[in-house]
Amino acid sequence: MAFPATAEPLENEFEASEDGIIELSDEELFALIDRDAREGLGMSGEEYLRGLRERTIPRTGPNGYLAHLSMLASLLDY
Amino acid sequence: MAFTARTPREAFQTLQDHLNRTLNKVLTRTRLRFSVRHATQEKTSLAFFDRQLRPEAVQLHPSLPWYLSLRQDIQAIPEGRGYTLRTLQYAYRIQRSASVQDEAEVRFEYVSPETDANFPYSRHHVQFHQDYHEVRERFSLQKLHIPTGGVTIEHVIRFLIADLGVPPLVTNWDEELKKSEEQSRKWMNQTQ
Repeated sequence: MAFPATAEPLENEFEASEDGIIELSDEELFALIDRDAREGLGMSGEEYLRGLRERTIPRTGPNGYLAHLSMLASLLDY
Repeated sequence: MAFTARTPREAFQTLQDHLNRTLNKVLTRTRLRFSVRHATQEKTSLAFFDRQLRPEAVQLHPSLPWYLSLRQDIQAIPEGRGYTLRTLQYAYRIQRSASVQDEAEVRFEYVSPETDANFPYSRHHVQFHQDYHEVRERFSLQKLHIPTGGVTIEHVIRFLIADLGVPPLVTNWDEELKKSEEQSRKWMNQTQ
């Protein structure tokens, strides 16, 4: 799945449904990855997913954003 | 009784309720939250999130330096007429600040074959802060992926209470953890 040309910025709070589970659209997942890759790793979401695919970025590490982003990416089958 | 649910969502909700019941009874009032991909819904990601879904480590006691970050990726697997659960990846971090960007004192991690078929290290492992002293030349606890068994959230709670002195919320915490561990063992179909 290709990274969208523009990832919409995330400004809203995420509300859980009645059963406590938060449903995310693909667009929201890409936007979360972009925001958190920038905040946690200092790179764009597109750069992060490319690095994950090319195995230049590990799935875990001292920075907890690595595991966090890996699991977000997994929801998108990366 | 084996864990089965009619739908993936029911399976996730049951697990979420179970883990939050245990966490909130024994360790912290903070609740784990699930997020799912709307399009498929057979995978989920479980963590302490803030309201903008940023990952966070929660402080365990105001007079202690320990913060806990829990993160787990789970997949619902069809079995018979229902679904069971498989852990795809986890990262349990015990650290000295709320930011998961900061290096943890100790982190327990797992990467499944489904998540990364070519993961080169021990899939279950524990790693320590880089300032730990090397015990032998070229044997750095920060770099080596020391193998462990599968580590559960209950194991981490036990470590926090028994080793790091975090006060439990109830006096019968050991009994509560044993019950929770037994339930989780029956429910979770964890690979490798």
